[in-house]
Amino acid sequence: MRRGLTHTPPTSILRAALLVACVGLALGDVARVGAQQPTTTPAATSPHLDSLRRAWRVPPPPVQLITTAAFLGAPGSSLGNPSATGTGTGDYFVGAGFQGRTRYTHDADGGFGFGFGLGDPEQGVGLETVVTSFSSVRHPPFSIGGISAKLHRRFDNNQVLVAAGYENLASWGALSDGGRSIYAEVGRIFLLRESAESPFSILSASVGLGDGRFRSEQDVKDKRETIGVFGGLGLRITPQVALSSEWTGQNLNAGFMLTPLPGRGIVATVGMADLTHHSGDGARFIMSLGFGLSTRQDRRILSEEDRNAIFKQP
Amino acid sequence: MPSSSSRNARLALALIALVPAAARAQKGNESDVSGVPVTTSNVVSSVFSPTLGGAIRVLTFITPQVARDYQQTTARLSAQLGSQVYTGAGGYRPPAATQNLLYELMSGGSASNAAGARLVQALTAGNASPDAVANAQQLALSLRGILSRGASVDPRYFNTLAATQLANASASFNAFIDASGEGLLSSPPPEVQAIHAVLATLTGR
Repeated sequence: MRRGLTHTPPTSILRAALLVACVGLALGDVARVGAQQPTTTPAATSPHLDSLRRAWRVPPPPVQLITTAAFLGAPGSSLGNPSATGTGTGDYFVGAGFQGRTRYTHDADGGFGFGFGLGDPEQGVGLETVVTSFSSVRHPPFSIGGISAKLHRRFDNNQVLVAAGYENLASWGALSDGGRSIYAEVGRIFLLRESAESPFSILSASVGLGDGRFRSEQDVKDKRETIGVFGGLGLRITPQVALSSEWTGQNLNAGFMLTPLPGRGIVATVGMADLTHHSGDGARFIMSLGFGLSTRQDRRILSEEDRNAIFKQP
Repeated sequence: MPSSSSRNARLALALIALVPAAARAQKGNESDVSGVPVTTSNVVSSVFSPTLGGAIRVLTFITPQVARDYQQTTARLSAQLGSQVYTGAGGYRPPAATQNLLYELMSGGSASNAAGARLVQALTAGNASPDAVANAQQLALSLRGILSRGASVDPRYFNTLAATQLANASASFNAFIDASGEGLLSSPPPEVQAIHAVLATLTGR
């Protein structure tokens, strides 16, 4: 009798085949192997033959299909506009923003916030909730603050993004001097290269409508309840560096997004705000630093080889 | 006597003078929203706006320890098959020629193409029907380079390609078995026994 033979439930075969089929949709060379499923035309079965087949089958491999973040890092809106995507259940983040000077002053300002997500933006809708402390350079933390929320959904392999949000729907201390803003936007991500590691591999674009701070500065001063248009473009130059430029509804911001450790959730932004004369009193330095964490994944990440294989067949 | 309104004006001016200039600057100029917004996850936007989603599905080894074991097992198997001293968990020792064939195929080197063709020939010696040949070819393809890919597994990563290839190889072998008749399974060629033993070793069973 053969050695090392085990009896394996037929369901294990189905499970293995399912795993292969699922991954076969996403991977490159190896997936193409999986895409060509063997032709199975079982001969006439008898109890003895069934027993033989069960005996010769190998057990399921110690692998599992998991959900993880690809962290390919499409350049999103980071310099003034809300992004058209956000967090889902298990996603958390903290971050701080800083302005070298505020408009019409020589004084710095900054704020920080933390947030989390609920829901599934792929299968349903994600709800992102953020608690923000404004004017935190010279005021005690959270003496002025607000809570903001955003609903968002991703379509078409996460390359079409839709979001609607309400900034500062609740506030304390004093209402943020940006006021309350309701907005809606769409975004699109374009894959420009076959490899995620290639330079200039991803372009993102977004456009939205909003009231509140998305109005022109003159409309804000005149208290005209108009709707402003905002949008932006982001180009990933390398996996660590992206260039972003955004029209905020009032002015043009531009800068770089830096992910020094791709896949580790740390993002820094440096740039300039108010690059045109449409608002404010000249260009200003802005920057931010954030850390995002998704507890849905384990601590492992995709290797470069894996990322490239997936990138080729999203 | 100063009027009430002028007193109020002087009081207001005095209060303004007492308030730090920076604090005054924080009002009325949209200072809270004219920089990088901290009202959304923008500060980490590239984390939660991945090209392929914050929730892609990938195949991986169950734990990093399993990946580490797999890496070590494939390295050991490669050495044993290469020197034709491999013995399966149940004590089955494939013939030297079969071990060499599997070594050439599973190492994925320049000899793997020819080794794959020889394996297909061996597996279909008694049944060269198109289906049988297709199944044997699929099995050979799924095994090609599996040891070299496994040896490069790094527990820090998901090792999706390695995990997928192992799943593919197991599924392909089982499909080949399911399509085989009683004759082959009652008296299988050494290649079937050897592949079964190697896959059982790789899956840790």
